[in-house]
Amino acid sequence: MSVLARVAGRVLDALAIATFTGMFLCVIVQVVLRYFFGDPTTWSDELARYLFVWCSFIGWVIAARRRSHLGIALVAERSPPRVQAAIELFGALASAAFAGVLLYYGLQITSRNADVETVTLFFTFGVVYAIVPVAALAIGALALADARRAVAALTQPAGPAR
Amino acid sequence: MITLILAVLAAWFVALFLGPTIYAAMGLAGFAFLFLSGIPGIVVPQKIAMAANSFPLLAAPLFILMGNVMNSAGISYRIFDFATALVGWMRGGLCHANIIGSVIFAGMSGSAVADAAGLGTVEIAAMKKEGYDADTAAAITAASATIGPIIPPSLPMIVYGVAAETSIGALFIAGIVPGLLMAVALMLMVRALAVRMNLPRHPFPGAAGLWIAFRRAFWALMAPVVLFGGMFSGVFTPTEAAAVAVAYALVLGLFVYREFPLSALPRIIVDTVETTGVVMALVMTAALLGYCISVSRMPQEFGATLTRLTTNPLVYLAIVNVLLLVVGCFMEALSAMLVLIPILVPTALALGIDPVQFGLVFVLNLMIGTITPPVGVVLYVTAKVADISFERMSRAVAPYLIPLVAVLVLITLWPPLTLWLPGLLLAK
Repeated sequence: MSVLARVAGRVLDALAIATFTGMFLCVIVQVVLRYFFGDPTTWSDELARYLFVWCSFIGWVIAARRRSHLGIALVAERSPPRVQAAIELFGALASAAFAGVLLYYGLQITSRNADVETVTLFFTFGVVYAIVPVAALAIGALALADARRAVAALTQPAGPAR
Repeated sequence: MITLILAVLAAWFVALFLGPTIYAAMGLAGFAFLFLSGIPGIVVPQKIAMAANSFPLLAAPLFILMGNVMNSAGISYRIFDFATALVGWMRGGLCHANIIGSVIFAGMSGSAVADAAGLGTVEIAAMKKEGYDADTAAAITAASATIGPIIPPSLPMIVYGVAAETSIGALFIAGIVPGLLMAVALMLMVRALAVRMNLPRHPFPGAAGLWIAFRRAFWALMAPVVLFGGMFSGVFTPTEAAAVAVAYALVLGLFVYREFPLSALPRIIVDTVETTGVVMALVMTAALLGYCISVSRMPQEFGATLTRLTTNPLVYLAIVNVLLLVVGCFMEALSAMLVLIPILVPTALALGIDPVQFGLVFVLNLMIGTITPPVGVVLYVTAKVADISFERMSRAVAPYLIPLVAVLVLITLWPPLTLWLPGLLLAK
């Protein structure tokens, strides 16, 4: 694995831990403040939700990296290696295409919300949406790498399995 | 627009089998519909990101963490040991223990896959050691894992509640009676099979042995009490109860049972975020596709056509059951749920079917779908744990479909099974 990929993986893990822990703590703080101090908060609910949006997209990227997104392997499992590689290529291109859609419109929605205020927090709604193009970029890059691997498997001369 | 959405849905369904991830197929289908009907594409990131902007849905990742912590904290084998001491002396004892273990684990985990992969590993190993063949062990593990999302907490019910705008608390309580019924029905089936297959018994440990197993499992058994107590007394919302229960499980694993060190926590959290990503990619893109279905006015058309044929709620429920059982064979449960909710729920409400009962029928159908081939997530996981082929797994689990479908028929025909308990507890 290249240095870049390793660093990116580290950053991804750190972001995952930060957003998840933040989300969890928001809910706990909300419970403690209301239950023990009789002081209901409003910001904790909103912050927890936005962290959840971020956390979902980060998890999406992690799952793409570990290839754990659900797909139906019914046809692929019963096919010879070459057909399998073709199916893999199709799947990778579908992921890349969808990432392209998310990137293009994600940038649009982020800039459109750049000065829309959140209700109780100090940042704007653009920050919430900013994760969409960032995650799309990562998902797209991972999908293209998968596609390249599939092409390599397809063009490799037929012969005894390695 | 209706022809367009039908064409898009058909293309999506065919494309699914060509191997792309389910989320990519759903997202592209949604985008294709929007593009072809001239709706701006900016709706795509908006619907997708805002699907996660939900406080009730936030309970889902918390319950995923809870399941992961429980499995790392050595809680699964304590529960199975206790269940074995309790019912292991019957014929086919470990099969019964497997079911009871699933019922207890269901009270702290919300997903059938977590049950099959976590508790299932312990159960299948123990059963193989006692001379059960892998098929029997795997079949009962997969069948009883479907109890997990029926007894609260439950990921599918959280998603259902958010998508169909039904009280998650009421859905949770409504699942208790059907979940216990499933356990009883499965145990009756085991009894019938055990005599025929001459399955072994486990020696009864005596009252003292039972007491020791209970004490060893005590703090684990308290986890559902913490969870339900907070939630059903009205002190916490389901999301808050999930966070409190996670805190309890962490204390249990880190300081009471000390089965995993603090340094293992980052890995557990990253794994949880990964699973959250898998689930949310489905939920978010299905939300987009669900929006497209609503825009196309297909639900209204479907409802109108159907109410011309029948206005009898029971007939409608029967149609829905058959439809969902068939769909459940071919589709993954969460995405099937989110795509079908906008189509099926409005008509159900118009016919006067209680939304909570309909939710239970809906979820149970799709949980049975997780153990029916050719697409069954729980079958895949259990076959891997038991180290048998998917085909053998599918054949072995078949007899257990009978009791589960019987429970489905019961809760469809007799509303009090799902509505009596929520009425009792929420009437305050």
